[in-house]
Amino acid sequence: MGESKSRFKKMLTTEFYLLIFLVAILVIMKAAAPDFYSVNNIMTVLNYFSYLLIAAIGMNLIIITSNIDVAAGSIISVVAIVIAFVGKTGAPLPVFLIAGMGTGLVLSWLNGLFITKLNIPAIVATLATTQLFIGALPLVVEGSIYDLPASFTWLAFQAKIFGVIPASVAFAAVITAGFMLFMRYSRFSKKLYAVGNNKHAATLTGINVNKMMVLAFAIAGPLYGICGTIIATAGQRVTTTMGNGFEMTIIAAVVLGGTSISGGSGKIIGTVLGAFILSLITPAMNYIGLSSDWSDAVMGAIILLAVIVASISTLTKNKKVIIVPDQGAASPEAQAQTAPVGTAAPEVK
Amino acid sequence: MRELLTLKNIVKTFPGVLALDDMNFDLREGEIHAICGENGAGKSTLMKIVTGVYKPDSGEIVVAGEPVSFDDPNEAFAKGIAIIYQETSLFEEMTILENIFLGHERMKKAGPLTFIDYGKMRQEALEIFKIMDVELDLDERAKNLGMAQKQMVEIAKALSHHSKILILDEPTASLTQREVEALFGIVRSLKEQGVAIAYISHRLEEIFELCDRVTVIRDGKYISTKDVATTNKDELVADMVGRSMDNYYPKAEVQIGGELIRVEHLNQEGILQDVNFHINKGEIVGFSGLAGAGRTELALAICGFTKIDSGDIYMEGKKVRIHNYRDALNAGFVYVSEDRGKYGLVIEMSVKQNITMPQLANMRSGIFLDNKKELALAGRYIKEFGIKCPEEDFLTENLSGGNQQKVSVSKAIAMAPKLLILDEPTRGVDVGSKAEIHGIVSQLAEQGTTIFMISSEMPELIGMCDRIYIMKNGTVAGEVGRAEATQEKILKVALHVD
Repeated sequence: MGESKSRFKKMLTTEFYLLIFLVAILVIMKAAAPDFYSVNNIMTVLNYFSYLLIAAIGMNLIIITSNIDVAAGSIISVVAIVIAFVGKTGAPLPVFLIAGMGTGLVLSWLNGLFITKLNIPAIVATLATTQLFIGALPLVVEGSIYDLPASFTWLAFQAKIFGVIPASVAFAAVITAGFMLFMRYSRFSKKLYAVGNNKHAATLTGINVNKMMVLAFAIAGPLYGICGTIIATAGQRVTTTMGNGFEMTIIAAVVLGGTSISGGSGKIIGTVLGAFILSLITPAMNYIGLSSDWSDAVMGAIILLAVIVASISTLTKNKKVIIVPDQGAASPEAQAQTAPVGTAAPEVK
Repeated sequence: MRELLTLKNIVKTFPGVLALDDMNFDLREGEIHAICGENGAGKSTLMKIVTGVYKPDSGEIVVAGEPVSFDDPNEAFAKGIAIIYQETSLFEEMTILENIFLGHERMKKAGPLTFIDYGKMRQEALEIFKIMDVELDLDERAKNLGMAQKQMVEIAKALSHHSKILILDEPTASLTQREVEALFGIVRSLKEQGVAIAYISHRLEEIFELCDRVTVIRDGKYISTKDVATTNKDELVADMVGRSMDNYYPKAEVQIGGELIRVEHLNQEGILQDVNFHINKGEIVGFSGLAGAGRTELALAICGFTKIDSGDIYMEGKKVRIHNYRDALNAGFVYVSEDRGKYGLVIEMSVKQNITMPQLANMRSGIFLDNKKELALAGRYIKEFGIKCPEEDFLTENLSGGNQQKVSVSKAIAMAPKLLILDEPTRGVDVGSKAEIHGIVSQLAEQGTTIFMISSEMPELIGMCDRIYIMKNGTVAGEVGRAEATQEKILKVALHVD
């Protein structure tokens, strides 16, 4: 009885609540707007979910190390322009995808180096590079790159699994599965968590804290690259602002997924659920008939709710009484003898 | 017995500071070797050199007959050297299992990939727990553990390295008497298995109870190594402070006045049950008990930090209502936290700023802060309490633990409290400063401050207090007066056995 009760309690995790919330949205949509389940809409949602999730997994690693990256959106903008340049030549997906991942890697790595080498707080460093990246693009490109060839938009229009499912979903599935295994079974991931939990103790354990932080950014970079590639290839025109502001949705997905902004905790499965819920909001508003102007406010409200629920559950957990375990209790005589009575008698002279 | 670790002529400097000067230390198989010295004597630096956190400028480290040089802590682990720090270094959000094996997870191969082998780690951890005779849920997160349990995990972590050399840095600083006994049991059984243990402690009683040899260091210099059996407390203290000390508990006789505070039927659901006590003017009243007995919780409740469900507090016979700490200050209570780094001081600020912080309103001339007034207030306490700092604007983080504690107490006293609540006032403080802090407490009592003192060190309570309340399971379970107070009596009530 007690066993099953505690097992039930263990199930009441952030992920569990998120799952219930997600199912609730899906059920409500079924009742309120059956059209929501049209193949077309489902595929649109899945595509958005996929690229949001891919970037959010990268962001999750960064947040686990107790950092933050507000440059993610601007990196995605840069990636979009870079791959448009490459794609304009008629290069196929693998070529510009690698170019995009490479761009993400370099820019995000730079962020990591700024933070660790110059000892600048992550939010300041990435805020500065955001301005730098966003500011540099219009200097290089005037407005947009357009008339991109069919080879460029192949991923969005032709690459369909079973003829309907966007290929981006496959990208997301493989990356998610890979990172789930990685976060559970690699020594590297344990070090990431350790750094986020307690930098000082991590150093004393022989972990190179700065290296781990740089690597978290370096891993996130190519993921932003993939995300940027999916976003950019959705049309024949690529503008200089395609990723601007997207970092907030990415961070929101991670935080909603239960990753603590102070670092050291958080699971990929949470990020998956967080990203999925956020992917549903805008289309759901549309189908219910509310203006999409509402969607930002609704997303904000959902995040606020999630944070409040998390905070209440920690508050109630902390209220429990500390009970001294009875194990190893010696008889009073033995206690009195072994306690340093003789040696420690008060010496008042 | 074989020598497992030898340090010869170690010198370590930091910019502007000679931290270790020609230091020597040796550790034999199956011995417990205490290292003692005042705060700042160089114990921690010495241990960080042994564990590869620092590199010595010169000198030799020999492990099991082989000269070594460590570039990082992992190399020291690999040589079988493990350390348990004073502040546990567990990763709070991670599970016990992950913590034990962090950095040296057991791996298994699956084709070209290597995976963490949770099954093997679990099995090994359980075997270690069996040796230690502890039972903990391996999937519990470290943040949900008590201090003593965390220490057990730290020891399990050390054992998982198959360590032959174990360094314990002030392991009992935040443990209760009973937890200390359990820890000692484990340490002794490790010793029997041939593990060499370096034991750093401020508590001399522990050294005499547990250790075989003791090395004293002072100001970064090696002073002496003695067999515990052939030395005594006074000799050690003389070595540590470089002079002889004859009064650890300078309690002065004080005229006890009428009742200052009376607490009746105080309840806080799940934490405090029907707590009743009173303290008279000029008294030093101790609160003893095991960790979790509710001593700190009681102090926090009467100071309004936590909400009480029911109960009455009377000051000088008049009922007072306390909803927050501001009310408590108005009633004349001041609380000095047990964790001075976290709640007692802003260590990045100066001695002066810390002392004047609670009453900046009194430090003004017109609308501006008057530096002269601030300096005068800070200077007064620096002189009165003997805070060792070169100037009032010296940063508190650069002070020793004992001096930080004096700043913490100064800040409280500057508010002229009627009732001063001291929570573990000498935790992590060296012998010399301890006696000085006791002197200050006694002096305050003489000047008419009434003192509510929580301590886990029974000799301290017995030496300093007029009366001692013993708490157990969130209530006051007993009371002993100064004349009849003994450790046995207090323990019997705290453990509740008749």
